[in-house]
Amino acid sequence: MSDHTPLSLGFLQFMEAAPDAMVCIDKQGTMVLVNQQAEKMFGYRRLDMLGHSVEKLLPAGLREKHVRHRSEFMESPHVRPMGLGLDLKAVRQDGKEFPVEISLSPITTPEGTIVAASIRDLSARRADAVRFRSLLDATPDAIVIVDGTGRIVLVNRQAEVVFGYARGEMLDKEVEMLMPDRYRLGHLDHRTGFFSNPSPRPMGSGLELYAKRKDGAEFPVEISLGPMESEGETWVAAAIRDVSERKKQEDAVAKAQERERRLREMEERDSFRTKFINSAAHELFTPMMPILSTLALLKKEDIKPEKKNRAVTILADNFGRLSDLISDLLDASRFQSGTLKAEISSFDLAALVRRVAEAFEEAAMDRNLDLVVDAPRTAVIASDEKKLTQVLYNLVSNAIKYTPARGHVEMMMWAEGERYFVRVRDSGIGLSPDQQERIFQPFARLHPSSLPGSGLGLYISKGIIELLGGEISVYSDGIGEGATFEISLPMELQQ
Amino acid sequence: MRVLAVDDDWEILKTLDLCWSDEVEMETVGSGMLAVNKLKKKTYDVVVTDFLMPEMDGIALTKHIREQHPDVMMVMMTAFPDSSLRTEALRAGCAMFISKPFDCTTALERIQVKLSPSDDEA
Repeated sequence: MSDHTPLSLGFLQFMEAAPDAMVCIDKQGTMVLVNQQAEKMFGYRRLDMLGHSVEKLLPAGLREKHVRHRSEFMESPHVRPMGLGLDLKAVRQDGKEFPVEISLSPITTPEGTIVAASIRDLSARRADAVRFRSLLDATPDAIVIVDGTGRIVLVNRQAEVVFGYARGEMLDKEVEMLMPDRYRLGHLDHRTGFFSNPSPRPMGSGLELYAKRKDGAEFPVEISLGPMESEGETWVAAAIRDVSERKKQEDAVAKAQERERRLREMEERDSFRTKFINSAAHELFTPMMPILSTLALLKKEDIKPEKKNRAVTILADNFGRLSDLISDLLDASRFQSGTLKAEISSFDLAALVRRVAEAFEEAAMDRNLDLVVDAPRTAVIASDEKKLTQVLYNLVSNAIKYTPARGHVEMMMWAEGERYFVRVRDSGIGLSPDQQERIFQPFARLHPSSLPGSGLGLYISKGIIELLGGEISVYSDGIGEGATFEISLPMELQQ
Repeated sequence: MRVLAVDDDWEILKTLDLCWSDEVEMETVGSGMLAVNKLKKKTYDVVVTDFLMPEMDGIALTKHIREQHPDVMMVMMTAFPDSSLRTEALRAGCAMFISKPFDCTTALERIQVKLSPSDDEA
């Protein structure tokens, strides 16, 4: 070879070491230099190439055209790099065609210009691309791959089906074409954000997303994103799943559930109301029996004075009981219908606690009970003083009612965070777990009532405390172990 | 006539005692269990019981007494004008109902009539 060319040994060594096949041709298109990789790629021995026209390495159908191109190139030879997207083909000695990429470099020698062609076999890459494409087309989700500028570089078949566009209509367009207009601006920001820190984002991350079809129709989608490196650039592959059907089913199920829930709620309300009215009627009838009976007794002329006194006392007590019951029923009905309103003012809760305790001092002494108060000097609260008074009266009167002689009742009040707490603890007859569960229900009737009560006191207390933004709870270690009621209230009730 | 009145409401018991104690031998208790204990020690002609009571209600008490003391007449006081309750009480062995509100004196007269041997039996 050195006989024919004045090229340096260094160049020849470089050619042999090059990873690509290299073929040098002269002005006439005759191969004057080839390397080992060229022998391997084309299946010819070196001798079968040197001195032959380079068209030998081209498919028969392209040879004539190539001669023309080659002559034109030789008139003004210039460097032509690889990767111009030209669809070039070569042919092997055994007749098999294969896709190639070629770069050209003119080299000036004393004997004239020769052109060195580097040839790269793209078969493997093409096969990869075909496999990738089949894989994409086989996935059930629409896949849209977008480059760093937001342009669509690849879509699969499912994307055509889902969006109603042909592949060609989507390629090289901004990806925002596939979403409702109202998302466009926001999406630009999101896109930029994602590219600045690309990381996979799975489907169903709780976002309610919509896509837009070619015909303008919107549909709900789930989208997962994954960054992918391609040709030195970061692209983003989006898998898009049309969830219209699933959404429809979910909506139908949710609607059915909602209907059922409301029906159940109505039934519960109904049964609650029936029970409430039954119990209320029972409670209203109860004091009427003593009233009717004592009235009948008092009508008799021969009644003894001692009996008459007892009758009058019973009559008066039961009238009182009846009127208490009616006012409790009115209270209960007010907060059941939501017409019970809080009247907010600023007052001293600690003073109120002490006042309530004082009011029960005599009752506690009568029953030989120890009544203790533990409250700070002052505790200013914005709440409804009258209603809170009613609740505290109810709790302390219960505590005294259900605590046997020589027991004790304790009222405690303290502040914690933004709330005040009031606790009424007694050493009385206590509550079973089942009773603790039912105690705030209307007419729970947990104990044989030696002292009459409406059966609504704690029910109303709970309603009031909730109206005042607080909570009320009960605790007892069991029957005979005493009971503790605790109220928490916001220091300042927002109207 | 010996009468045991059972009610968890003290006002009712006080009234029954006031109205009936001159006419009959009268005792009162505040729960079904207490009534059961009383009946172990003493016999009564009539037990008048409330229907709605915690722990042992009027029906349960009626069943128990009809089983253990078949000679005792059971009378149920109730404010529930419910026919299914009536059926249930009659099935349990209740002889008579007094609907609340009632006048004790009239009620006692009815009980006395019911308890006196009928013409058929005489």
